[in-house]
Amino acid sequence: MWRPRIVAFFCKWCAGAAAEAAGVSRMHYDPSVIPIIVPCTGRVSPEMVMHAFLNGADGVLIGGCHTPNDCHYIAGNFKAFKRIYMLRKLLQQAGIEPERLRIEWISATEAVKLVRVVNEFSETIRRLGPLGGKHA
Amino acid sequence: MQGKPIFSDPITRVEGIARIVFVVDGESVRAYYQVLEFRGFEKLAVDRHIEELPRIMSAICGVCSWSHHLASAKAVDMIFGRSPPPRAKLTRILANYIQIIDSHLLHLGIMAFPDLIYWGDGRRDILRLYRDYPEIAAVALKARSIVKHIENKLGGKFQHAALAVPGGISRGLLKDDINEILKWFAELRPVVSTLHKFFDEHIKNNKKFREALKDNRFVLRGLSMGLVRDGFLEFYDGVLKIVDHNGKVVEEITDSLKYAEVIGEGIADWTYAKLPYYRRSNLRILDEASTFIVGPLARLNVADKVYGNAAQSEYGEMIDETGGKPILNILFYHWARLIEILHSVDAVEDILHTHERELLEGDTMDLRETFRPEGVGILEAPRGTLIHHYRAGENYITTYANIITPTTFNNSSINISLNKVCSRLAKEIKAYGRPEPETLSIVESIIRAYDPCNSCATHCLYLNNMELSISFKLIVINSNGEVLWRSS
Amino acid sequence: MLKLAVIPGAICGGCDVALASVGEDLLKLLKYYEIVYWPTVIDRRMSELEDIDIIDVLIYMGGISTKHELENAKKLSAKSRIKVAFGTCSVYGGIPGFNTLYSPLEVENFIKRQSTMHLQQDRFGLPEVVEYMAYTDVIEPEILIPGCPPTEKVLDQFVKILIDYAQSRRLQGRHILLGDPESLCRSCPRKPKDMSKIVMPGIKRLYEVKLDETKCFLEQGVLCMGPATRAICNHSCIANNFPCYGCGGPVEINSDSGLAMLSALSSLFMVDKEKSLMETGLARELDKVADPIGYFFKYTLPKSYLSRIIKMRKGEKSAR
Repeated sequence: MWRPRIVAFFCKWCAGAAAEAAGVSRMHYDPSVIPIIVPCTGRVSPEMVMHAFLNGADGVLIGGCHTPNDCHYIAGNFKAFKRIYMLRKLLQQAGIEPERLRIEWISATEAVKLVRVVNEFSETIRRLGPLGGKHA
Repeated sequence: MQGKPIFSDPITRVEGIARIVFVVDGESVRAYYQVLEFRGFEKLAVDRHIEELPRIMSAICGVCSWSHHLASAKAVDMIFGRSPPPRAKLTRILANYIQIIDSHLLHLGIMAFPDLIYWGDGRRDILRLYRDYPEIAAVALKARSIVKHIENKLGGKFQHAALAVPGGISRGLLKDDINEILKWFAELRPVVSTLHKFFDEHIKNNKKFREALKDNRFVLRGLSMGLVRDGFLEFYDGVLKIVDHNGKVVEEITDSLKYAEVIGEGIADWTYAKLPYYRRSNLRILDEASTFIVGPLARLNVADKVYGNAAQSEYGEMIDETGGKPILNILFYHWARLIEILHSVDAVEDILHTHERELLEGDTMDLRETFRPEGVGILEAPRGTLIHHYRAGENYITTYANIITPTTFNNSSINISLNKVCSRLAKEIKAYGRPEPETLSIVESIIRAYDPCNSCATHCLYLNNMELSISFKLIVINSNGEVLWRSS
Repeated sequence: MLKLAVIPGAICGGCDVALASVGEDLLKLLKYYEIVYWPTVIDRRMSELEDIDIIDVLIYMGGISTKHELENAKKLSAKSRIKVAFGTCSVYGGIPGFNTLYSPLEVENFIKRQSTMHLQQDRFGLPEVVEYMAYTDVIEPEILIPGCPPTEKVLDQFVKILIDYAQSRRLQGRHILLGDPESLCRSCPRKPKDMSKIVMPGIKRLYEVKLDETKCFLEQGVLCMGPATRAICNHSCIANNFPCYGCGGPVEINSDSGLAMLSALSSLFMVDKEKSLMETGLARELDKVADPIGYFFKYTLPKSYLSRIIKMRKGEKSAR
């Protein structure tokens, strides 16, 4: 039976910390998600997202710090937002569901939100089905 | 069809990829000029930002890319409801003329001369020509280099230029630019004279060529089409005039949007290029009387006047040779090409000297904006009439593109002409097992006369499920698909 | 004499003209190389090529659009010592690369709808169309020459390499990508003094604005592919007051210039107004790019990550 595979890029300061907190508090979130901690969502390049899709990910989730002021590096989250926004447009134009790529702001104290977002996203990907290719 | 035909390689010295298939059925032979390549420009234009099309569409052809660039620009101008100011328009006209000169010199120097000089005589390629007539080699290479410099100046790159923006041009020429262009142009004049003299001495005086000019097999009774302006030969903007083989004017299109009422486009399963035909006749495609002829010969059939003494004199001489217009023997294309070079050279000099001020002063771009859902740009490319037709939707995104290139227009004519010269083929195959050398060289000469640029004509696509193994230039098969002969 | 063949794929002719335009250099090359095939210029038959056991240098121009072209490319490359991908179509797919978005059947139907009459006859062996690809999708060439068409700059390099090879029979390096290994911005005359302070003040499509003749295009809000494009030229288009369209391809052979530019644009885009516009304001401005594929991938779509994902996706569809 097919199970969705999701790669999540979490920044260490906010969403990553929230994921830690969720884990420590034994809050369950969908195990389809593979978290990758990055220093800042601004570090996530479009190539990394595409790489994930090409290597088996059916969905990519990006978790960062709230705009306008929470980013540890001042405005990395804004760069991430713009990149992901344009990437979603690109995917849509190419006939690939933009819903497979999502960006959310989740602060270190928002473990509950993190769990909700991860579970929601997994459900979305389950609904959309596998992206395709030999990993499907 | 049975069997696995093996085909010969592409016709050399024609841009792009094409070949001829002759099908022998008993005593009769039918010829099919097949264009084998596909690159799908009409489809890829859709969904693009329409203002980017002039540069994208120039990639249809790397020899006449300027023509595509400018025809596309004209269509895009219309979509924005814009009218390029005089400075922009004149710069574009200048660029268009340079393209005409470039392409015609290239064709004469590299493609036609070997053909015409070694008429019916084995290996007729440029290297042989250059060994026998080294002065032509030097001159042809020089011409290319001169024109390349001017085109670089006008468009940044000499092919796939960056000049046209919606409603104008990216930058206006400066005095320094004009001086440089004049300098290069001054070197072009003697080159053109040398080629002109060469044409007079070696081609006009070639007995075999003169005989061929009277050969009925090279006659095509089609519809000549081209732009005119006040009766003059015109390349950038004018009335699209169509004249039948008796000389009667059948159409004068002033509104470019209406071209589709007159020009129909057919497709056939055996070629990737389309087959245009005259819609107001009740004839089918590939019928001689509904087929179009475009390019130098056609343009000189629809126009009455050319610019400059040199061109006028040659034009008069050419008409005297045939006793009147329209001239329907396609070998006159070569002569017509020479006339157009002379006309264009004088026209360019006139622009650079008499209209220098217009090139240097004024706005470069019309910035008004009135959305029009449809735009059609018609201009004369070196090989003939070129049409770019676009539709745009919200946000000026392209929703539709139709492009008819000059080679596409001549497609039907090429097919018809080929069918006129291959009637003996069936007998020759039966008697000798192969076509006579003369037949082959005539066939090639027809192709060269039309000067098809197959990269342009193959911008559309066709699909099939039949297997094929590779490439020869010319193949004779019977109606069962068995190969009777192939050129190799 | 070494044997040199110029093989056309799905071409426009511009690369032929570019190669022929090297002028005197061509005569220099003819001292070492015999041109055994070059359809645009000389009168030789493909069958003569078939008789040759080894081709020393094979120059492949154009992309690949039919089965005939694909088979030809494979067969001839297999017996060539040095393979050269000549021109952006050959290296990256080029402008016809947009066709990777569609299946040949979709395009066929599109064209059929446009025609007003259809002659149904035999195909006489018209080659079957394949999904469009670059020459580099078939084989890994020794030399890659980007450019639409290749510029004087890279052609000079190429001629030198060819002469060097003819004399030494050795190639200096493998998979040599010509041009300078840096982005076009580096040497651009419009480069702003302080590169760390470039701001793209919004999106201006080419029709909206009369371009300033000295300012960096990005600073005018107009997309210029300079930051993501290899320096293969002397900023010829920029000198004509036209932004770079990226015909030189990515700075390094394996990077994706479309994604690189998308990323660069996101970095520069309205950085001084991020906090006042917030996501909705930024999105509204970015929405002006109605055609991101055309904006970023004009010449490189077949080799992009995006294209690979599309192919992957299509593969799954046909399996079902």
